[in-house]
Amino acid sequence: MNKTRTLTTLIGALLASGSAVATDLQSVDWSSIPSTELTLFYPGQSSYEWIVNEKHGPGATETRAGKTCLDCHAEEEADIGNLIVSGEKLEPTPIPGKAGSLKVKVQAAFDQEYLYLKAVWAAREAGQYHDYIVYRDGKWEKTGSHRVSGKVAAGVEPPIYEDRFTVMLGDGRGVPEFNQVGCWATCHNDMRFMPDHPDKEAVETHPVLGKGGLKKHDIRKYLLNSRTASDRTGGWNNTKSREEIASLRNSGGFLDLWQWRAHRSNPVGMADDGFVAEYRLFDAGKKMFSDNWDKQTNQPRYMFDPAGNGGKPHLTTADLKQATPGFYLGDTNKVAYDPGYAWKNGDVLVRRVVTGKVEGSAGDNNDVHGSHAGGKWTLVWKRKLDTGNAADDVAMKPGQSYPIGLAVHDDHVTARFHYVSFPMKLGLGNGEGEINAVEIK
Amino acid sequence: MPSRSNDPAKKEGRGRALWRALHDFFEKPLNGLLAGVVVAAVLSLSFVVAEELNVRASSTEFCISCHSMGAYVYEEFKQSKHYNTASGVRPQCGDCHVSKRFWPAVWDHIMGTEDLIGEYSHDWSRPEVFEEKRPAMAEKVRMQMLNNDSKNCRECHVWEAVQPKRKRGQRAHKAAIEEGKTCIACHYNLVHKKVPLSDTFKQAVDQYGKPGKGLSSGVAQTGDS
Ligand code: HEC
Ligand code: HEC
Ligand code: HEC
Ligand code: HEC
Ligand code: HEC
Repeated sequence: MNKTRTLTTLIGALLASGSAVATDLQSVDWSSIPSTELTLFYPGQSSYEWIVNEKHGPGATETRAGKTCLDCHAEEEADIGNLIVSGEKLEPTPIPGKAGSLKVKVQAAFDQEYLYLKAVWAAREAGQYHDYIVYRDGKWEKTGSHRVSGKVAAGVEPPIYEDRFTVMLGDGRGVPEFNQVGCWATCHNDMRFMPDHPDKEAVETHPVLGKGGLKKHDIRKYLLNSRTASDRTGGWNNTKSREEIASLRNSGGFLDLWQWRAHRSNPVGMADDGFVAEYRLFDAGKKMFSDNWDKQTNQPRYMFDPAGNGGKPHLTTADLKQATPGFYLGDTNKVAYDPGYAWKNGDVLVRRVVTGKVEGSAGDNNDVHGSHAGGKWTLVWKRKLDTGNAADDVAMKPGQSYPIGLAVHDDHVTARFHYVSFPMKLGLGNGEGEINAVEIK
Repeated sequence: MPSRSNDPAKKEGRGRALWRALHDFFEKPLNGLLAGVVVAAVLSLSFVVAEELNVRASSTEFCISCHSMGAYVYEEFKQSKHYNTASGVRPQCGDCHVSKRFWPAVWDHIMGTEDLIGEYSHDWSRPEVFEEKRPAMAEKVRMQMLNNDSKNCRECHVWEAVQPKRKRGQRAHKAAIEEGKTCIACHYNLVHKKVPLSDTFKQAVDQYGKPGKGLSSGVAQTGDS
């Protein structure tokens, strides 16, 4: 159903556009495009602060001197991941049985207008569900979370968290440290699941990040250029003024961040489009997912249309084991929640709603398709080189190179419990990169 | 007066007997700064004599005869890779801390007499007394090593002959030899408890040898806090 949908959208788009300059994503001949096999590894709590300070030993000296990670660590990715995932170093909460690294096969191509990416990686499970809500004694309760959450670790909730594939991209100038230390430029000791995370109240009362500002409750990725000072714990609370932060962004001082999500974006053939600046934020406009929850009534907003769901408005916990056709609430299979329905204990609804009706810059990754088969995810991606949204997207040009980092969230994890790449370059037709996109006509 | 009987490294060595006598002497209130200076001078001389007589004033035994040295840094050293080596080569304190050549060694020992005064003017049995001083001491040692191109390290290690097991070491050494870097720039926190790097030391390291491009950073790190 997913495929037919995509196809119809594509045909529609082609008919509508009339002059089809760009290649249809589904017809890219990947067999003629060179591939790179990357080893992404588990980074634990190796923050920027860890990298440039004494615990990194010679690595800190040489990072300060301007060397890049691969100058020392090329081909050591698997060893690093194995060491950290074991809990011996940089990981106070190891996940039993988790592998230390993950191989990802990447291919890239471009034409004058678009970038095309393909990535293949092994994933035992598809991970196409996200958290959900269960009916119990007259109430809907949120349940299911990532492996490291307290309730999952204690066996009270099941581990349910979508798989993700993330691209972080710089323009090479706006955030100079990204060229050298890659994603570590965004990772700090005071972010969530890191050693110095501030408590919720401190974040909520912060003038720029809290209730009077971005309305955040925890600290996520941010760039040091948005802070006036930092130390070994990071610099979360030393934000520059709103004006300074805004002007930084207007002058390109941010990183582009795109996340393909197996539950929250893949069903509509998309990936989200965000960026990292003073926080990890979404681009302007309307993104593809939102919460299936009405804060006023404390009830879900939507339920499944019984007509397309075997006559029932809900799922059962058994459905969550595999992606059944109605595994997400989308544009065509949802109806308004009916509190009058004879809800029974154990009835399940998903906690997110996904829509193809995106708007603005937030919807720029609107041709992204992952399929899970044979224990593998195969992801294909098409995106405008230059979306025209300079305030939250990096604009690419053929012939140039761009600093890039990749990450995969596999097996019900979130935040830092992912596999990541060292900083790399994406070359568009110049052969300069670790990942080299070739030109297609 | 702190009891030194629980000194883990207790060994009634020549050095120690000498210090005990001196300690009694210093406890008498009449002996002021002047006496200290005179004694220091005399001691320096006796250090030289000791060296000449091949009494190992650089030996671990000698160094740890003082509580300040024996209770902390020695215990840490025993956990390090320099204490438990595959080859059984076990550096003495002085191998890293005292110059090999004669006159510099004499100088080190003269400077060391300052420690003698230090030994008896503090209650080293209290770990917090040592910990309070540790950062400054580590800094001094690091700067010394940086300024003399880690010459003591090189007495044992021939850099070109070091064969790091892992790729990171092989690559780092290859580049660092070409760039004229020095051991302590990378191999700090070597055998004792870890001490954070000071900004001063970091800057000195960053300027040592052929300076690199420097850390590309969107903001100046305030560093230590
Ligand atoms: C001079 C070579 C060098 C460079 C450049 C370097 N590292 Fe390291 N790295 C090391 C060494 C040496 C260690 C082991 C440190 C220790 O524990 O003594 C290490 C350890 C690590 C570890 C912990 C796992 C392990 O094997 O101990 C991570 C993660 C890591 N480095 C990431 C990075 C990243 C990210 C960069 C780039 C921003 C980087 N390193 C740059 C030398 C280097
Ligand atoms: C008389 C007791 C005594 C003996 C013997 C002694 N030390 Fe110390 N040492 C001290 C004291 C006390 C200090 C702390 C000085 C201060 O307060 O800064 C010290 C400081 C040091 C420091 C810190 C850096 C500095 O220069 O202040 C080093 C390194 C050191 N000693 C090495 C040695 C070595 C190596 C030996 C053997 C060759 C040795 N010491 C023998 C008492 C002693
Ligand atoms: C008395 C000789 C001696 C001196 C002096 C010496 N080392 Fe070593 N070092 C050794 C031996 C022996 C080993 C163990 C090597 C082995 O087992 O193969 C070693 C191991 C090492 C290692 C690897 C183990 C580790 O701790 O990571 C490093 C790095 C090192 N030395 C650096 C230094 C530096 C820096 C200095 C100067 C501050 C220094 N050494 C001074 C003899 C010495
Ligand atoms: C530019 C930084 C740098 C400098 C300067 C440097 N080293 Fe190293 N050294 C490294 C790195 C990186 C490793 C690998 C550490 C690891 O694998 O965790 C290493 C490893 C070693 C080892 C251990 C070999 C092994 O793998 O068992 C020894 C011994 C050593 N260095 C001695 C020295 C000596 C002696 C000097 C000075 C002459 C020196 N190094 C200068 C970066 C440096
Ligand atoms: C293999 C070389 C080596 C040996 C052996 C060694 N040290 Fe050190 N020592 C160092 C280095 C390097 C520092 C500078 C601090 C650091 O490790 O970064 C240091 C620092 C110190 C300090 C300053 C305080 C501190 O914790 O940094 C003292 C005191 C000291 N050493 C005493 C001793 C004594 C006493 C012994 C013998 C028991 C000894 N050292 C053996 C290399 C050595």
